[in-house]
Amino acid sequence: LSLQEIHIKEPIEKEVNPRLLPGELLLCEASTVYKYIQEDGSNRGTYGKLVCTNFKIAFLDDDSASDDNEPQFKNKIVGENDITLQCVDQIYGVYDEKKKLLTGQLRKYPEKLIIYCKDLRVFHFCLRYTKEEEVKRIVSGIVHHSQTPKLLKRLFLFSYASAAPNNTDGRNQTVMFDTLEDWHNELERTKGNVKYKVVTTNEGYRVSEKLPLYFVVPICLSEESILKYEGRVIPIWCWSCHNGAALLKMSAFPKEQDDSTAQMQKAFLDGIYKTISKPPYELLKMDDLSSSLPSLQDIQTAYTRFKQLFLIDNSTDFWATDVKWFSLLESTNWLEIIRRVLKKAIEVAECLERQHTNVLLIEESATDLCCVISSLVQVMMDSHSRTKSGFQSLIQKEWVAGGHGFLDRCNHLHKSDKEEAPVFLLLLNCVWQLVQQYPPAFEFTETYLTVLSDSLYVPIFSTFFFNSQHQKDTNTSGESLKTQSGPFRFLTVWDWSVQFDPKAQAFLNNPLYAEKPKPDKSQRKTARFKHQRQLSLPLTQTKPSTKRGFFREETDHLIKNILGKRIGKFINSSDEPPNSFREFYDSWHSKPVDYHGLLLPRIDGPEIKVWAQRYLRWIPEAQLHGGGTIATAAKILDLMEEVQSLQVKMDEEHSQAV
Amino acid sequence: QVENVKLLDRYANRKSANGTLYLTATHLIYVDASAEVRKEIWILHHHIAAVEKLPLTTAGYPLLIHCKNFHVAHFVIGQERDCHDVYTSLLKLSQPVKAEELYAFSYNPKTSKENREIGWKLIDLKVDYQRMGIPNDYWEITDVNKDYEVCNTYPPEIVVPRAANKAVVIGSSRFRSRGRIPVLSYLYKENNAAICRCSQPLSGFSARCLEDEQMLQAIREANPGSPFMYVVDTRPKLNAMANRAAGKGYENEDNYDNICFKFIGIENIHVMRNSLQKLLEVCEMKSPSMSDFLTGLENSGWLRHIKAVMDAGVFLAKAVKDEKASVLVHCSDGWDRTAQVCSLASLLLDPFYRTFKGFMVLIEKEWIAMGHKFSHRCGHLNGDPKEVSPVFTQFIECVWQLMQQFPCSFEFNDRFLLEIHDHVYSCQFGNFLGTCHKEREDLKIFEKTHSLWPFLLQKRQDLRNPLYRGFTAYQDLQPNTLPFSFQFWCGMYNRFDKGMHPKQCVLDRLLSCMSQKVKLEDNASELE
Repeated sequence: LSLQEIHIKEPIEKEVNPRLLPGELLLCEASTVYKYIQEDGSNRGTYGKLVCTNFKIAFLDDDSASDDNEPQFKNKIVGENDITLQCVDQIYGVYDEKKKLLTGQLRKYPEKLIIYCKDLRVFHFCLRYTKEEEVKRIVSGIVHHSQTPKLLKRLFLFSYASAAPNNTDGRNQTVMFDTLEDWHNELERTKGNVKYKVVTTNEGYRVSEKLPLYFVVPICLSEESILKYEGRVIPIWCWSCHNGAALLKMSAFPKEQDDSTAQMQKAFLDGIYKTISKPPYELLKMDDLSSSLPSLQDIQTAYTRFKQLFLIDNSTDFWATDVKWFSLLESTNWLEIIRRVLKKAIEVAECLERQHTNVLLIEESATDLCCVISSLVQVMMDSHSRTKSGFQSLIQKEWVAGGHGFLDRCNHLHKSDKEEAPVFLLLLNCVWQLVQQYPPAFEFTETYLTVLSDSLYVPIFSTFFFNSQHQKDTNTSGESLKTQSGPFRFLTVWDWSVQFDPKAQAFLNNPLYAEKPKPDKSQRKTARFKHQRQLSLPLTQTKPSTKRGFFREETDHLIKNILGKRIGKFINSSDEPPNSFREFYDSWHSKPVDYHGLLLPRIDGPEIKVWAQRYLRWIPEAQLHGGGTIATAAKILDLMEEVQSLQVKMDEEHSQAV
Repeated sequence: QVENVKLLDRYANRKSANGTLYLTATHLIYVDASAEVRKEIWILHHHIAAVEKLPLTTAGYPLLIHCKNFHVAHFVIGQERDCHDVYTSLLKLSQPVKAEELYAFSYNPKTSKENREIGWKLIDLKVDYQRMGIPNDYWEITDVNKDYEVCNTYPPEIVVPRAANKAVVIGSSRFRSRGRIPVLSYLYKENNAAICRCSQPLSGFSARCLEDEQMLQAIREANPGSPFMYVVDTRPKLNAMANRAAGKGYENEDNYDNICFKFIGIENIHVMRNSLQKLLEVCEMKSPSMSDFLTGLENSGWLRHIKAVMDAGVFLAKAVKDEKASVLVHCSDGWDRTAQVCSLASLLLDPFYRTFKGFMVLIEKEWIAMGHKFSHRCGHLNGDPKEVSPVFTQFIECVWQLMQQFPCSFEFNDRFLLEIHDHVYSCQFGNFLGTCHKEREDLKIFEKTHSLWPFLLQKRQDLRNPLYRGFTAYQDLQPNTLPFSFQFWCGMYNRFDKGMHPKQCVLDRLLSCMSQKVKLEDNASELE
């Protein structure tokens, strides 16, 4: 910067104006708002301006001296005192010391505003010194824009995409799974292409608006059957294990009253199972997740209770709840749900890995718990999913292309509270357990998972703001006219440079990641050879064992289940000795860990922990000066850098010497 | 030697190993015959806390062994007679009657006599006092206790205020339980505030002692920067009051000038013993559910007790550093809770104690020299089981909790803590034998046994903390003492459950990185 430039810059910074993003509009503002630093009764805080835009609620400190000590880790889009509209969880007004939930229209205006955020921050704003007019405008503005139902097109996502210069490099290693090629490559990578194929039947969304344009099914499945029930009860391929066994998912029929329809559905299902249970396909095992896992409602209830432990109004409350910390934690049931989900994933892994059976996950829509389990299984079994780009591709495959209803589940539009459920957060929580148990196995850190969870509420990325690929496509097609520069394109969250500068991005990468040694060529050859042999002799592999029961029996169960008469709690484990899981689990854990092989989480009580970084980071009482995991991470980074630079230096010296 | 013995895993449905059990003079050794690689389990007799014969099963006669380092071994022996033989021999071997039977007296690492003597001189408490600036205008090292006349559980050399003459010392000692008078534990050089320790006063309901009052005054005046001093009783108030009936009790604020008296409710050794028992029951559960574990953990109260100790340490450190006030700490006899709290406060205040050498000094100073009754608390000899209590274990755990919160502030890693903890019970080295300095002299520990510290320093490559940021990076530590910041220490209580600690791999990897760095640096300098 030249001297002149500095002169020009300074006066601009002095004015407390919000920094607006392209497409961001200031909607209302109020000055002399008092923000409490910490609600400890001391009433310490700062004066400033509270503004509400079409993107965020922001508090602008009157005295901007705080710029001096910029934190090392900073988000470029959402500042410390910024709350995106989608990040607002609940807003309370305080009237004469009484808290009241603010939702729709207001008749009286509160003297204090408490904003609870979905990333677990809590803001307290005092409006006593603000002009009445401004109070009215800002409170109703904030409540209106963050708490009332909204049209999809009114999401900031659209204003941003049409106004922002489209200069992202797009060179991302993440596979988006929106092209035919992506699916072909994935099939090839997992060697699933022998028995599974990509279908283009859904081009133009002919089959279903819930399914992606391209998806993978067993080769023997006809187009006709895919079309018959709009893609329902069609086994859709998720992933193939190294031994050829595959993980599949399927959406179930809705409950049917009509007998003849039910008969037809049963016949259809029967046909499907017959085709995919014949060789070369492995034995099939089914798991109806809606009966073997907690319901979405249970998950939502547990998370709401759990979250409450960390959304703390003031220190006194904090100390009070703390006395019974462990029993409070237990009563939320959240950790138990995490444990059950991990356990289910291990069960599935066992079927694939040890029993060589295909596993078919079944759920009403196959877009919620199916996504959690299939993602977890892949993280556990496929070391590619434990790299950053691999994990991101996995999220694209199972969640974004897979049609998880992010919009509804996060309730971004405030359409219906009933649809809300933290399904994706559940996955991140489970993956976190694995990350903290086996740090060297992951290319990313817990910080990565934390910022990813925060990104759920940043509406400049399209990743988490659509219910399906179809919804995204239909909502962008007409839009291209509006952009001034080039084609209309949304940003993807995987472009981390949008949110973080390189220095901060370093915290997302795990310096302890044990990179996979490049296999030497001869080894690879033999491996492939073995694999092919396996495939050419499928009969020896899939010889039906009497113990496991024939497929026929199982489908009968299943059909009954799917047709609405849910009888048995479990279908899969009924004919399997119950401790085969335990045996698999124990024998794995008695061996040394291969960070590039199968990874099973420990699920005994002591091993499931609270994701402290995500849940405790905003509570001042929980902060450690100069300690904690951040200190560790920084130190490890330094250390690894030192080693690397020394290595580079050595290499240079060597090459010079030569 | 007993053949054909099965070792059961915690999870009964796993295939059990088959092997041979050997009993040697010092160890119980199990050799796994079924494994391809020879696998051996060595259990030191001194580590055995309890041997239990369980009801006969189809596989044979089960024998359950609980160790003091939280190892649990479950053997099944084919013949009843063999089982009984092993059982009775272990009972005898694990609880020697005479101190001379302890392993330390037979342990021979084949080092020369000189080396052994050098080993014992490795830790010199005088040097530590010098480091604090003692002797100085206010404090002196006195040999008033050289013949153990003042207190037979204190070392011969103690640090008292210069202003307290011999009459005051002797007078005060008559008013303190077991003569354990107030002596200096740590002096915070920056502001002259001191941490002192003693036992409870024999105050009963109304007794006073002029010399004791003078003693406290001398301590307070040794810190001219502060108008008052704290007197901290680490017991719950109720316990302290109950002691008054026995002619003991606590200081009356009216009788001492300018003291601020405070109770910190750390429970007694019996409560702690029971709490650990409950915790271990939780640890031994077969695949506990989330709710089993969390409620079990909470009901054991173990982490609550750890928190109480930590809170007390933090209180002391704050009083000294922030309020610049001296603190006198006692409990009943001043050798359990007082040792925990004083050593923890020193650790919080002074980065030296977070180094290898410093931590050894700290244990020698606050625990060994000041007469923590290791022999009784650890049950080294066959004795009163009511005297056994995990007081030192709690201290070690507090240090571990600090390491969790400040991963870069300790020179050593948690293996160092585990090594020390193991050897406190192993009786392989002389340091922790007996109950006080006098007893160790009588046992001729320094002539007949070896010191642990040189042995540990030899292994320092594996015991150091790769994340350590050096002596100057952290001054005082301010740990968080909210209940959720106390974690369950799997590495201690479930240490011997195979594979329970995936995190160890990180440590190994970092250590290898460190070595790689050193090697590269060497290479680089060679090339230049």
